[in-house]
Amino acid sequence: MSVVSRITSNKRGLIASLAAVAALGMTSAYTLGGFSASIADPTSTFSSATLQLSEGVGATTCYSTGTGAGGTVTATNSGSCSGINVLTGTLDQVPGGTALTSTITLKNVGNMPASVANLVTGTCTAAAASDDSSYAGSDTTGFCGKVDVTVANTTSGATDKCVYPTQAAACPALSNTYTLAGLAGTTFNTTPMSALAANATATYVVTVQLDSTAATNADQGLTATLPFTWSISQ
Amino acid sequence: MDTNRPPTRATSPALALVRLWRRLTVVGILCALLLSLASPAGAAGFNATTASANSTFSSGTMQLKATTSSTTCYSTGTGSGGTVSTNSATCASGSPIPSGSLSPSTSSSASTTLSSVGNANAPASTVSSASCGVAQMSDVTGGDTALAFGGLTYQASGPLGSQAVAVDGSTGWAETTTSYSNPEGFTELIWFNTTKASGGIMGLGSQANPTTSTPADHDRQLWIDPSGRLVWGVYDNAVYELTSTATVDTGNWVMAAASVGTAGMQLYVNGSEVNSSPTPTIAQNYTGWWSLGYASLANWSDIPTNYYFSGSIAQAAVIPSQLTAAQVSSLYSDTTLASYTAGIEALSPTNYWPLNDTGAVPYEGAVPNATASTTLADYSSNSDTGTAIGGLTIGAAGPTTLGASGISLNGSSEYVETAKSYANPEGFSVATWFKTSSTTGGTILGFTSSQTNGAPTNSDRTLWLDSGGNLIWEVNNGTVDEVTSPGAYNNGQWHFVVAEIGSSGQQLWVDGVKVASTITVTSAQNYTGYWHLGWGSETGWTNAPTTPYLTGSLAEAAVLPAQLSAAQISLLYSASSTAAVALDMSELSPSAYWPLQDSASNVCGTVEVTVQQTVGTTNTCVYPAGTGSCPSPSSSYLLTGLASRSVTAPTSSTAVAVQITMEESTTSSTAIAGLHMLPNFAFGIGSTTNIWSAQVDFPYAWAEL
Repeated sequence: MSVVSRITSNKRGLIASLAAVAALGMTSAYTLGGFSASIADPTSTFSSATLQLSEGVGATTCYSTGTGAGGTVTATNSGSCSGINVLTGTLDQVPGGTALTSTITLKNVGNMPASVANLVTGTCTAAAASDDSSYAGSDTTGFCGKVDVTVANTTSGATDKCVYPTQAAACPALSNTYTLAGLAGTTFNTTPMSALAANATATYVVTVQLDSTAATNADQGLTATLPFTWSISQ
Repeated sequence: MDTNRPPTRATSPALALVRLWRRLTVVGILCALLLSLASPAGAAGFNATTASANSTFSSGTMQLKATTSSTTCYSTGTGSGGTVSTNSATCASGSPIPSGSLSPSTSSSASTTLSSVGNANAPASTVSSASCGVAQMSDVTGGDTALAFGGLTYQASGPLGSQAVAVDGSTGWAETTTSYSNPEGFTELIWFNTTKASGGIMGLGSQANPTTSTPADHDRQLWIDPSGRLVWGVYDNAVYELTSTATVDTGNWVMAAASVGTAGMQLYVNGSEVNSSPTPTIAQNYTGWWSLGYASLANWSDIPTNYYFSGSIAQAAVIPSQLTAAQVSSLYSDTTLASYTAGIEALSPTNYWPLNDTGAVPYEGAVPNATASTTLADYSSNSDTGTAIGGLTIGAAGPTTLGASGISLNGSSEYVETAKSYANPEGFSVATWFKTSSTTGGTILGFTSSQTNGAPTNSDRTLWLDSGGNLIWEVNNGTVDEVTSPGAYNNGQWHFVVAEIGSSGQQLWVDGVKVASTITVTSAQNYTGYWHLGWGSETGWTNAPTTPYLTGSLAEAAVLPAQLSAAQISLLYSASSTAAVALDMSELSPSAYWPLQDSASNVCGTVEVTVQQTVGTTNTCVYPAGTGSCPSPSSSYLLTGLASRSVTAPTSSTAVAVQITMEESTTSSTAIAGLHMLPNFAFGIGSTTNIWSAQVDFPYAWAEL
């Protein structure tokens, strides 16, 4: 018999027991008879901890509750950060142009330590993007493979520095070897990801650049989208 | 009552409490165990997540807007905004050059404003005259291109749903570039539409450009007499004229057919014979050029005072036989352009000018009676002008993908000499388009210590085809080092070849693909020499060509002072126009760049030009380069020397105005007066570092000489 079924079969007893405890709490001062002495601890409580994550880029900070700092913790404990673009999102990038960086600050804003930190990347998709004058690109084929990217763990004291490509050193220079296409669909959950103690922070720097191989005019006016999901676990 | 249940035991309160505690303990353990099993993360129970689903990275857009006095064009070709693809647009209207007729005494100017309308500014910008020729009306069967003169408008409304050229009755007409010796037994066919009782429609004159003076011989002429009737004139020791009974200046399209031959003379209007004569059976014996929209009518009878036709003409043809009445009637019964065209072609015409031309395709061959040119301009900043030696053909057909012309060489004596010597070029690339069907091989490009084709002291850096059609790129690095393509390219098709030497090794690329290389050879022989096109000195080398001269064609040749990357080679190979090649080349800072788009006639070489830019309130002369405003046009600065020039790149906040000033040279031949010069001006933005570019091309812009 499983534990669950045993519990079910003893349901009646369990209810009875809980009722008895309740009754005892209410009536013991009167039913044990004779002299008695008692000390009541009416404020005794037991509380579960909270494991909460905040993600900040620039002036924007998102929380895993999805409600800003504080708030009700639900079962999902997962916040969607539509205001954060870790790939910078600007519309003026040219092949081989100046690399762009985005610094992401993760903080365990709960009161218990996390033992695991995760970065999960989704599917990279490319689409035409209109600029301010409504010019838009025409050839999305292979565009994710033309955006060079590295993800560095720049947390103070982090031993292993480069998350993508994973290596025990600072990230290499941007090149067509490491692109959004290569980064997509990957889970990073070991070093150099930094687990976070309560109230601890970690910083990651995403560096992107339009590769010089995006050399044809058809590579203008395109957008590559890659979801980033950061998480910490007990 | 269940009698099988055990009897109820007497229970003290204390004992009840002990039992309750035990039960609660068990329940607590079970609850903890249940929670443990239900946790999705196993031992790691709690987790927290933030997701940035909207993380995007976007490429910029590099877009050019060019605004002339009458129109605005965008590099997308779709107006403001739109899809970016080749990013090179043809502006079908508007002109960056002075409109109207150029004067040899007074200059005229036009200004174009360049604006950066994308969100990525380019660091460089150019203005270029990527090719230069004169407007043509193609002969679709005989290859005898007709040239447009004076007041002539392209793509007017024509018969059978076709297009026509409109001539203005005072300066507009066209002339063939080929002369014919005594055409006999033939039929002239042409459609016309006029309301004027005046003008020559078609004729044969013994002098190129009969508008300048009366030719010695001129017959085989169609004209409209002062009463509005159609006249067909032939001379055979006497003037013979056939005149229609009805007038033809009705404002309706008329199909005229006129013949002379063994059946005598016939004149047809709209498919029906309107007059004929059994004599003469021949016309005058001389060599002449066909004219359209004009006929030299001096000394004929029943002629108008104005020899220029006023109206529209279309579907002109010369059939090398006397058509029967049935054949003419059959042609006229065709009700669609397709069936009419098929009908004409079935008659094996000597010439067929549909006259549906755009006026934007430059003819770069010889212009009758105009001075022949041997100059092959260097579009780099080094003025390493080429000279056509041996009478090679300038203005020959070029790569079709570029809409270009080129030079053709005879394989025995024709080649290109250049003007400048170079001391030990190293770390460079040579690039050119070529076409050959030769089975004896021949040199595409070579570098020898002699400026001429004499036996040189030193020779290497040579690119040739062997007798099997394989390409060989040779340098002398102490020994003669050759890399050879595995494939043959003497298939009569245009190919783009790049040969390199430098720290990346000795490399040979064909049509954008590396076909042969060695990393061990990185330098060539140290000497000072001259580049040659179509000739080299390969004596004693392995697989040397049978003759050092090339039998074939070349176009868009260049020497570039660096080894090109695969992306750069691909960009050059994929260029879709001569203007695009010029822009790409300019960004590579060539040591020498011979587009080979030169005109065989000295048409563009007699037009003086300056180019001035204005940024804010600051004027800078771009051509000739100098500070401040440009000097007045002079013979020192000709259109053929303009090539591609750098101007300040416009930004999103600062536009750049480019003013082009032109003046005709006082030395211009009268034979070219009235021709529609097409300098094919283009404006571009781009850079070598990001390779993106945007371009607006004005192939339709012409100035009358």
